[in-house]
Amino acid sequence: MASAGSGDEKAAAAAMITLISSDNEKFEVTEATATLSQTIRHMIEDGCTDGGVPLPNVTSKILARVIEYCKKHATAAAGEEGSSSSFSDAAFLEVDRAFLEELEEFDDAFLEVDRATLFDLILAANYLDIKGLLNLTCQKVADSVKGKTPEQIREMYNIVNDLTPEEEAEIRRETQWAFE
Amino acid sequence: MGMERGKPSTHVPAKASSHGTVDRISKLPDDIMLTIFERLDICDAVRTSIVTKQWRHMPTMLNKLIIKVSSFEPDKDNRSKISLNDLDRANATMLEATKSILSRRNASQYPLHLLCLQFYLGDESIAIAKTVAYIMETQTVGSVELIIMTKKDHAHCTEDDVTFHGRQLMSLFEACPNAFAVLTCLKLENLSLNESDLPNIFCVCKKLEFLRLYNCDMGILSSLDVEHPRLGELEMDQCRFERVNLKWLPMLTMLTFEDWISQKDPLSFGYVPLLRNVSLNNIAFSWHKTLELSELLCNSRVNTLELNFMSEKIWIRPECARRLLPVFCRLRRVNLINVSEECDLNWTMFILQGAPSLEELHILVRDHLCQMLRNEELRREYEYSEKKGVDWEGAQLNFKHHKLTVLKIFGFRPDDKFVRYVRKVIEAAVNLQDIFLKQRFSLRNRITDGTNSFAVIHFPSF
Repeated sequence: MASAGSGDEKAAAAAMITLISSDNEKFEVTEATATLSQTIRHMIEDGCTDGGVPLPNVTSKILARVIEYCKKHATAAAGEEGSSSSFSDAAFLEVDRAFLEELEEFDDAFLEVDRATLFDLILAANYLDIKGLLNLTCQKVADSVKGKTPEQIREMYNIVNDLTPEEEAEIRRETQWAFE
Repeated sequence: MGMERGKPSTHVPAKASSHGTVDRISKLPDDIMLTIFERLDICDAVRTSIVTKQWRHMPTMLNKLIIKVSSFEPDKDNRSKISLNDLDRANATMLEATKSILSRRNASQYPLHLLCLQFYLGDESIAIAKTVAYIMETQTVGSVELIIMTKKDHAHCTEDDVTFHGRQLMSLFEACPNAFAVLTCLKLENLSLNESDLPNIFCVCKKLEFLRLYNCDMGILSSLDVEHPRLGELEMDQCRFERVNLKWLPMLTMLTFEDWISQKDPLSFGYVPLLRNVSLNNIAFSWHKTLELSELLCNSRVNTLELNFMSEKIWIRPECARRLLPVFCRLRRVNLINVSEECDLNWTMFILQGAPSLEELHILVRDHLCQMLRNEELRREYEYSEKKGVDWEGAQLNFKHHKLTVLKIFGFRPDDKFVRYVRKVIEAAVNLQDIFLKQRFSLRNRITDGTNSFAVIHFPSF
């Protein structure tokens, strides 16, 4: 809450954490940025971040992007936490459009990546347990299949059809309503 | 990661390299794939599930199953082009989808946390409700939500229509009370019911935690008593009751009450010991009573109070601290929304004086032009209030408030009115820590809007 406000923020800003990618590159980030990852948050709580946090599942290329996301959203998250559960925030945020738009623009631009990077980001978000990033990237994949036929989806993602024609016909019969 | 565990390369189509990517999506772990499926409309989820063998059962593994009739309506750029026939068909398809998904689920061992069904009142609704009742007998489901809509929307409903809808709902209710008995969430709209109907529904829907009534009544200007052991959240919007008595709601924590037509107090509070959040939202026409919060909120001890004036008249009367203290004693946060730009803000000081534990005061000043009626003639015809502001002479000299820490004003303008007001709050609230003043359109935006300049605008503060 607000009363805990500025003092804590300053303390958090001072505390730096070192993240180490799978290819041994080191990234210095503030604790506020790092703790968007629940995985890292738990490590910090357990006091095992001295000497850096090794992230053997995340390459430096992907880690750099993840950090970029966390930096941007750390400030936004701080705001959300401050405003306890209540209905009004939507109304206020609607007015505070500039802020929201900027965040949306950032997210949109952030998602302008090739498919391989998108999947790497999904896996990293899952491993690091960053809810917002996982939601964002999964939504991007979900949006990409919306309104598409199974054939279009297979082509888009280079997926081999491993159903026999009989199996596929059977499912289509059972779920004809989805294909109208 | 994914790629190492890939299929033998012979399975990768030659095309893959031209896209610069191989099939990685089907190698995502099941839980991530489920997260993606959860974001799909039920039709898309089913279509996507037949892309590959390993996704076949995804739609039956979802732990939130949301099937909405709106997914089956024809393309909806213009709603008025959708015919009643289209809606009938959509409803029938929705029923088919529900049956098909739920029957495929029968064998599934995955828990269903949420089953949410949205459909229109009509011939199919009884079959849909029976499906719900059957599922509840055979599977464990966390929460069950029904969103029951009417084919005619509010704007097109006549008195006869709402009466007809009311009868439709009650025959559905009487045909399968079992389905209603398991509901945790119910949303109803555009119905007129008999006097005993809503109390009956409350009685049968024992598990109800959330209820929304939109444009519902039991005859115009009737009065409704609400008693329910579980209900935690109640929303009433454009319901034409004279008075809603929240008589006995031991679990109620949140109330949203919008657009009432009563000329008296539209609400009364009985036993609502847990009620924390109250949101009241209304355009005050000239015949509306100006409400006194000490009377209206009597018997409640709310924590967060939100008042939305819809850019029209302020429909509450400032009162003295002595009267307010009993209802404001636990008040921590007040949101005043859509206060018309023509109103002075001085009157809001009565809230500070009456609520010694208030910590946050948020005010949104705005004339919401696209929602406001601005034609003077029509305003007179519909009896809009001419004067929107409220005068108040009750300011205590040297008043001090010790708990307020945050003041937020959205729609702030750097003019005398606002500056004077903020100074007044600062002088009174001796422990104020943060003041947020947000202009609706920043100066930077106003200067650069429509230009292509890359110039950086600086606002030095010295």
